[in-house]
Amino acid sequence: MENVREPWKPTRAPEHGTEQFRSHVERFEASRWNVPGTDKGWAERIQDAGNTWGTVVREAPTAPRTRLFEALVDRDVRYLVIGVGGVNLHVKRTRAPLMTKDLDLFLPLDPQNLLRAWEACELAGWTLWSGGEPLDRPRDLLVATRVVRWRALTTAIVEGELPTDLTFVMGSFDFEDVWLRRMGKYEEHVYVDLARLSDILAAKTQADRPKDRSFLADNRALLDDLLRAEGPPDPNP
Amino acid sequence: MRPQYEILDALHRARVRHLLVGAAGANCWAFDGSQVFSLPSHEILVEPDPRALRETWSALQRLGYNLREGTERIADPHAPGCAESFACEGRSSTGYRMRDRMLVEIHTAFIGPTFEELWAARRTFLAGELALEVARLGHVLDELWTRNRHFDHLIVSTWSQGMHDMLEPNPEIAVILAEHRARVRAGLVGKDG
Repeated sequence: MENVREPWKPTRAPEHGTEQFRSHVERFEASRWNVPGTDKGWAERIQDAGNTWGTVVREAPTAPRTRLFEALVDRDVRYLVIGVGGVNLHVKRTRAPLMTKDLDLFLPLDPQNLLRAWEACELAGWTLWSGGEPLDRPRDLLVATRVVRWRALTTAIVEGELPTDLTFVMGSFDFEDVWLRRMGKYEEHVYVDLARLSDILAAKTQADRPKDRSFLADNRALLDDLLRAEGPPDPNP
Repeated sequence: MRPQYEILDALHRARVRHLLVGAAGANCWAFDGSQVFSLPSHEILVEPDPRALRETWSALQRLGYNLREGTERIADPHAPGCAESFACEGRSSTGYRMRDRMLVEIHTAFIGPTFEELWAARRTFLAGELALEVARLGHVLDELWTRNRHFDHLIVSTWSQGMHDMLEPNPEIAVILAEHRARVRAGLVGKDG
């Protein structure tokens, strides 16, 4: 006689509050399908009737620049990405990025904000330099106030990424004006405050260094297209 | 953009620290569709700070939501001290949008850990380009259980069973799978799917 197997029945799950329940939760949280940065958009899309769905797994965001932007948001730092790095964020991802040697972050003349920016850099694993030397310790409000007063440049460095300059100067622009016209953008999945392209290019025109003239001349057609796409600033920012 | 993500995106732009909690938070931890609960409302916990609450309300209003506390409509413009009182007393407000029947619950308090503790233990997931800040699964399930409502207990029990089946599968299943793989190798049946 053929051996007929009983239909499978699930075993009883533990009750809430028990040791086994807590252990399950911890193991589930630590499982590979719940690592930070996993795409969980499907959980929302599944609720659309008739929509096909599937799990999309993405690697955890560990790129140093992503960590830096995350830390800047986390520390509530006001900054704007400017320079060629900023232009690259305006350029669509399908294009190859324009060549640059660094990423410029424009900061307001606010020592507290600068202090938070330094903390964010350290939190993300970047080291801080100023004038070719490691930045002095302790990095307190007194040091930050002096750096702001002298409009000194601080550079954050990490292996495998271009240096990031924390600057207080963007041509003759005032931070608050550029801040009001800023644009938001998601770089990897992190929110980045970005200066308008027209402001970035105006600052480059004002600086009028040979490398700026060369950058503007070499990429004229692309920049014109991007400026047209950007349009006028929002009248009610 | 999906309505829920529209709100989360607006909160990111306003730099409001927020966490997905309740069933919406638990859904983000799901392994597969069997653990996803389809609900008309989304629960968001914002930091108990009047500025954050004002920014959240403004973002919701810009997106076309009407604000209420229970059945009572929250006056627009808000009365002076209104956000302060909500944040201080840990009250919740709701936003409802008629055109797509979206309901959002904005909490300023959580049963159990403080916001800072929840924030420190959060997990960041993605939805395309958008970051989803989600409270820890343990915190979400504990809070659902503490609400002591039948439906919330159902969510926790479903989760418990789902995790149990995943982490401690019945040995019978292993036997069935091994037999199935042997049949596939022998060319008796096609591959899965």
